[in-house]
Amino acid sequence: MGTFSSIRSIPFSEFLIFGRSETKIFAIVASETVFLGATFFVAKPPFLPIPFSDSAALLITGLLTVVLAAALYVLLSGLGYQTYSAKFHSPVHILKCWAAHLAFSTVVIYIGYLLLVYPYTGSIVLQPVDIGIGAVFSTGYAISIAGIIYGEDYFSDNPNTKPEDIDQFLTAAEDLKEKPEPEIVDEPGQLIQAGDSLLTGLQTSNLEGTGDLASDLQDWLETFKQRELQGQKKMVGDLPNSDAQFSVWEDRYNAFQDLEEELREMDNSASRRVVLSVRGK
Amino acid sequence: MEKYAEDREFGPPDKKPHNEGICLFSDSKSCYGDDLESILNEITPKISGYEETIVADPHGEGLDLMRDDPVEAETTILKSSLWLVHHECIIEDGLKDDFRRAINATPPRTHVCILIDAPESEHEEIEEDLDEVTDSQNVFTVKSKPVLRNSIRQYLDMSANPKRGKEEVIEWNNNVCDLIDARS
Repeated sequence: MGTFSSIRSIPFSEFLIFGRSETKIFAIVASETVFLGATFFVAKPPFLPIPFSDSAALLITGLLTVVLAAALYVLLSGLGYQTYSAKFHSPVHILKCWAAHLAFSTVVIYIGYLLLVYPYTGSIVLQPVDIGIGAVFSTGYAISIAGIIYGEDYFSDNPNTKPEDIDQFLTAAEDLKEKPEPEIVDEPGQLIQAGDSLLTGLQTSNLEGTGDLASDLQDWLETFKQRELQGQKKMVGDLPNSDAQFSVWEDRYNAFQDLEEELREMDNSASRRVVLSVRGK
Repeated sequence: MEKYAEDREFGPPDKKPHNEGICLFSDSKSCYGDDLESILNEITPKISGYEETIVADPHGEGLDLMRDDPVEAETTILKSSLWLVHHECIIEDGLKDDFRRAINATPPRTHVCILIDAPESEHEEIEEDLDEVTDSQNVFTVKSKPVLRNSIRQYLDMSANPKRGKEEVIEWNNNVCDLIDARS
């Protein structure tokens, strides 16, 4: 599937607000008006208050844009990490979100430029310095959008416990698999507790694909809760090393492996995965 | 495996159903040529309250456990209240005494079903060979697939189903817990 068709297959708002509530869109629009006013300074002198030469202004704005664009990627990667969608932990998908944020903010800044500067210059063609300063404002505006989404989560009453839940779920499953029965204390309980918490997060997420994962996790957890320790151990991979194993346990273990793979994908942010791949890990 | 409270309720909305382990002792993993899972799939829809008050899970490693360490195996196989033992496992694998001891250790209501899977002309001889093993009142023999299917269904529906009498299920479960605790 090509980039454009994959973008079309997902609601555009998912790229911009990461499945958060629609009210955030209004918050973003409100903040936009502030930046529209700020674009007053984008025009050439007399509106550029600092006396730089064109080449120096381009160099400074170019460097600033690169730094801000990188910061935007890290910020969006952090937002993606908070979601329950494996896709939003992918560096490529975050790059798409990054492009969407920049495209949106560039359009807004350019409209602001036209509204506030055109009456003075009479031209819709941007000057090189305008482009440089506009790029800084666009990335700054995009960062402000991401910041609003971050801020909403920060002040939310529901703290995101996803990283702890994933860690508890996977650790409990590993212990349950490895430990002999007499040494197992509360691993099944911990796994169920973390699984239920992850399930709530998945079920309340508005992002594409989380519904399917929620359904798979719910089915697996329901079965796990009904099993005795002997069966629970099999469900996380402690299968007898013989051909006397019934396929029902293999199916349940395969379902667990699929869940584990998805959860591990959600255990690293996109930017961290980029860093790890650069380091060759 | 945990002890059940005397007043435990089974079934929805929040209570855990009784988990009925079915332990198969067979080299072929099958019962009269049919996979145990498919037999269970046929039977379980006819069991009252299945998935609500009772769920059944097949465990196929019984024979491997007995071959490895018959004494240690008991701590695992005792947790299943329905044992399906292919007659060859007892007679031809030299595990006759081990099976006799394991069966004698089972609490009342554990159902040991020996599958005699051989031509009818050999049944008498096989039953004679099984003589000492079948002393226990918990042991039954079946000689055909329809009888086996009916026996499993009746056992799961009537004897092991908390819906038909939870006191017996609680008593069996707690007896097994005591037996396992005593061995550890």
